[in-house]
Amino acid sequence: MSTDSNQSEGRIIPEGITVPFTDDYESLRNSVERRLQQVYGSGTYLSDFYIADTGSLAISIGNTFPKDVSDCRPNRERVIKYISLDDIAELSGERDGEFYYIELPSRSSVEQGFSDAQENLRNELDQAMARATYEKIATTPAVENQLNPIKQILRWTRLYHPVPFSEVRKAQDKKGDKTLQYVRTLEELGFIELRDGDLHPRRPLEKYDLGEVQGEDFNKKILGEVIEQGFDRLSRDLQLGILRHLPKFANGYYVAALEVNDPDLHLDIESIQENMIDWYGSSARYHKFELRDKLDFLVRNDILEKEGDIEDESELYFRSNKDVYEDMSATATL
Amino acid sequence: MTLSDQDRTQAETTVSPFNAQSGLGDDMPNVIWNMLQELSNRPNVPDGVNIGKRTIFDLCDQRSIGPVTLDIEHRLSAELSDYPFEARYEEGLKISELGDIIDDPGCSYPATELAMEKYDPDGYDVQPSGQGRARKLRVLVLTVNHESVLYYDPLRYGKVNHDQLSGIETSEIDKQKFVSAWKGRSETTSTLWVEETEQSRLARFNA
Repeated sequence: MSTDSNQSEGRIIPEGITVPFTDDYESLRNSVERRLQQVYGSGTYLSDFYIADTGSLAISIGNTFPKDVSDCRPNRERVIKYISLDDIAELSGERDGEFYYIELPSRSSVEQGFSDAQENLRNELDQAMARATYEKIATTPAVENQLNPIKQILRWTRLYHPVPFSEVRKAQDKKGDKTLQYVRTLEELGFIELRDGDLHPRRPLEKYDLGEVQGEDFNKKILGEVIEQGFDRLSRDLQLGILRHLPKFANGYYVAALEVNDPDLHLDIESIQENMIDWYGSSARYHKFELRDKLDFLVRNDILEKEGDIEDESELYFRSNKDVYEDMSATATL
Repeated sequence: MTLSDQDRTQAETTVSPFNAQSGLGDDMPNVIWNMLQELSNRPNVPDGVNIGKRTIFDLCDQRSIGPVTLDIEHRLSAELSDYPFEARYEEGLKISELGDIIDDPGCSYPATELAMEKYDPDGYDVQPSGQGRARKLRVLVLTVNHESVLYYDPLRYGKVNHDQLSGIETSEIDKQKFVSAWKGRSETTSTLWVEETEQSRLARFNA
């Protein structure tokens, strides 16, 4: 194996590598990929490779990693699935006579790009899960309770518009500027508008008047829409924990099912826990009693299905709800 | 010539004390660790040749993206410099040369890289990514004969499926299929092993 020196202190890889010049695009691309695999791991591939007229190289790399997606039922073969993440780092190179010299970013910066890409994929999957399940969870008591202040603002704006914001704040009697925070969130999501001290409904809210959607149906539909549109803001900015956690538990199952493209994948509680830790880190480790409660919540709300012996967890499996799986596979990119 | 019961028994005895990898992507440091552990257990080989898991992870700079294989033989040789052993890395070896390394009592078992896209493993199923990609896998080759190869495959073990962790066993593959995965898309084989230094061999010969 040839090496390039310049190994700086504390850095296990050199500052750059050289690859012999060739006119053959495919051959050059393959030798660059092979060299970069030695530096950044054998899952490395070129997600983009461009040779400018000047002879400069612009390279984007991706990485592929393994995941265990085995069905947990007895006598099933172990299945290892690889997942690719594009564009985790950008590299550049220059032609120097009979060689290309490619500068190498540190391995820690490439690893950071890899983690960022994993996080993006995770967020995308969480949002896909929120979209696939928002109607199912909008009216469950736990979610409805957390979203009650949001629901009040929407209902009062719809009934009394234009309604003075000061009245809404007084009616909610929340500490600090919580009510204003909810209003700002609903404004950003385009449901209402705060103008000259009054709240006005906007199009997504007005359309319920036209359809004369009332009572429980209004709650279910409008809250579902709020969750769908505002999953990110509601779960992070307003700390609505159940929204942030629910996709995590559901995706502990669904990510594996989507990866292996099998809605009939059966996973036990232990595997779902392992998947959650793989995707969300060690903060996603839960006591098995709590995990079982959360998974049962998903089953009660038709987000997961269970099969086997509910008394004996070693023979209890979770599998897809057909509708959720179809929605997820239509929108999630794995 | 087919593999004899003796070949299989010997290979099983070799791998049974091996350590399973702790993460699915730890195959490179895991294979080096098992390679050195087996070598250090041989008669007249110092225990210190097994430089330990932590040191091996460090010299591979093992991270979530995978290990550094560039110059791995230099870093490994530097770690072994107190002992009459050095690491060797070769590209383009043939299967007969792999057999020679295995038969040489002064060499460790060789670690080879397999292209997963061309590998049909014994005991589990592999699914490349949607783009048809996968990482390469390092395995430790124990026996090569006319028809088959016996080897240790770290991806059969570790993580989830705890019931499958009852014991480490050898894997077996048809020799031509092994060669195809070893060559991979680039048609170039790569092999890493540790061997007795030339000075040590000469000293032993002259003794």
